[in-house]
Amino acid sequence: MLTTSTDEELVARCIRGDRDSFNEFILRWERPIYALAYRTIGRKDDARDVCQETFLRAFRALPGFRGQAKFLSWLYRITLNLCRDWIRRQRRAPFVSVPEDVDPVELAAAAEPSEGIEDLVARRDLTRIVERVMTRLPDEQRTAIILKEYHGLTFQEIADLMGCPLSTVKTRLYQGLAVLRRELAKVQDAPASGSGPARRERV
Amino acid sequence: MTNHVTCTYPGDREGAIIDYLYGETDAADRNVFERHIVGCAVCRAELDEYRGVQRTLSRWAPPEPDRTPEFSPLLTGPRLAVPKADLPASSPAPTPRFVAMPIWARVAAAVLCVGVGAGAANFRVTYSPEGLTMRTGWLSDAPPSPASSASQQPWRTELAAMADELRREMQSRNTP
Repeated sequence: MLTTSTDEELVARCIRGDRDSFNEFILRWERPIYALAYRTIGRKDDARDVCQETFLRAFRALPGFRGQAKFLSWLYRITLNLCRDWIRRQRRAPFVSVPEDVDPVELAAAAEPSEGIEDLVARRDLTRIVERVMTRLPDEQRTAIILKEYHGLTFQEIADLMGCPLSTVKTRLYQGLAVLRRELAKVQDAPASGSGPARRERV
Repeated sequence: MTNHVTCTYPGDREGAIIDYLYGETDAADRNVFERHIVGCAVCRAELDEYRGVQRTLSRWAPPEPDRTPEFSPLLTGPRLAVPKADLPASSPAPTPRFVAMPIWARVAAAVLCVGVGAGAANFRVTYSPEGLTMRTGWLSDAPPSPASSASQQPWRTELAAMADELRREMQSRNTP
């Protein structure tokens, strides 16, 4: 049963070791944390694991939380750090280990993106289109857009989370939106059969 | 297409557009910018385009996490079995769809993950309907070993004992 306690009250009870509060703690924040992880790294199983790891770290660090930031921002920071680590590992390491009987060149050819944007347009899959277009953004712009568009953080909260000046946040948002506008316009103009919502969507 | 050259806004135009778009501007600045866009087709068009981008972005919803026979202590639980169609169309966030597991088990698993992880980086403890189980791999599921179910039993017993210990520890922490 969820209570109507404030974030601060809930955190205080968690720090005291109240078990029900731990449960509520997760219920209250797991969905936004999972959503942030998913939109940042784009893989649901790994996003689930990042979400799990976020709560593990949060549980460990709770006694040290002094209310210096809004609690959700504090959780977001843990999540973004884990996502950043995940992205770095992915860039360093091969995405999959290649079995001996598989040609790495063929495997690379079959790797993401497995589906062209035209296919997505033809299938009118706007969710996948947005997901794909978001990957075209540099990390900093993508993170700023995600935090603003999907989590409703203020410019100042984003600046604090990303460790950059407020003006930089605005620049990243502006440039990110400009890239998205351009990329979505390409999608709109992409040749596709039919005239589904993706083609009709004003972008 | 827009052409910034034809816009004569005095000042940080990009910042002003972003401030206005997201409503994070004080009344005075807002008035100045609104007066500007009345006469500036370039800015009006650009704002319209960004609002279109925002509408498109709003269509992106993360997928529900997969249910797996062996799953993490988070994002799981009996309520996840409720068909999506049966859920309310607009339930307030956060919804309790993901979790219905005793928290002591999650915290125990969490602490075990941390503790055991320190000794073996690629080792992870999770909780499933059958009790505490293990998986390997950092932020990824390890492929199941053919002998896993047989070999996990002693571990499970040991881990369940550790979890009980942690539970007692938590209870004692609650006691003043």
